[in-house]
Amino acid sequence: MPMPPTSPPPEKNEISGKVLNIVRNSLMGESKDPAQVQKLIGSLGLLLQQPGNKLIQFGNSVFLVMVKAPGEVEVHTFSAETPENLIQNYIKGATYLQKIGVKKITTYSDNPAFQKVAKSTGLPVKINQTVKQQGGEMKPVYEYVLEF
Amino acid sequence: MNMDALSMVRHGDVDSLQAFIFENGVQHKTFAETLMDNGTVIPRFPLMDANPNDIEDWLLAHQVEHQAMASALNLSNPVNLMDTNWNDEASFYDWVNTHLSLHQQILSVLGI
Repeated sequence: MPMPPTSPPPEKNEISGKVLNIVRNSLMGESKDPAQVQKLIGSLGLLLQQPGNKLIQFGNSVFLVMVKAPGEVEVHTFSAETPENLIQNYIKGATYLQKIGVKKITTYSDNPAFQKVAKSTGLPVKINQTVKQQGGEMKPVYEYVLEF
Repeated sequence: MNMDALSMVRHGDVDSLQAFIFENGVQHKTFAETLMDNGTVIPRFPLMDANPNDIEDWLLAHQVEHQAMASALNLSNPVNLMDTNWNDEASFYDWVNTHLSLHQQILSVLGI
């Protein structure tokens, strides 16, 4: 019996072509400083050489997935999408991670507007306030936790 | 190492640019693997995959690797290889020469 066509796996452990373009545009949108963008892409390149760190791409959104414990991942988002498309890409990303056995997804953002995006996904995301080290200092951030 | 491919690339000539991109990618891979053998990990990008008509992302990835190699080998901070206009013939050849000297410096330090 012929197998149905399947999509190629969205996981990548390198920043190539389109993925680099998305990451770069996302970082440029946040930072605007080319030197800082170069530094951040270098850091991302190093992170991806560690086992357990992968990029997954849906549309024009790229998610850095870092395994923190069995079934638990931390996710960082690079996207230059419209909010509507970003919401759809989050749903696809979460569905994919659940499908491969992830039980808990955590992500962080210091942008209060991200709360609206998280709620718009319709996923049961818990939102907490916490502090996280960013650029050598502790900063208040929102923590988003999705458990399946 | 085929240094000719790095030095004889011609402005506006896609064939020689593709030969350059391939040889450059081979050399970067060798540099990174040599560093890794010595316990130093640097960011890696698929530099052999480049679209000659849209080179900006490639230049960024390439610059990031050069910065990391310069840092790992305690070389003087490399010139910003993104700070160029490849559409301008003179700027392009300046870039090729600067880049060639960077590769020769790295080869020398690594003893390859």
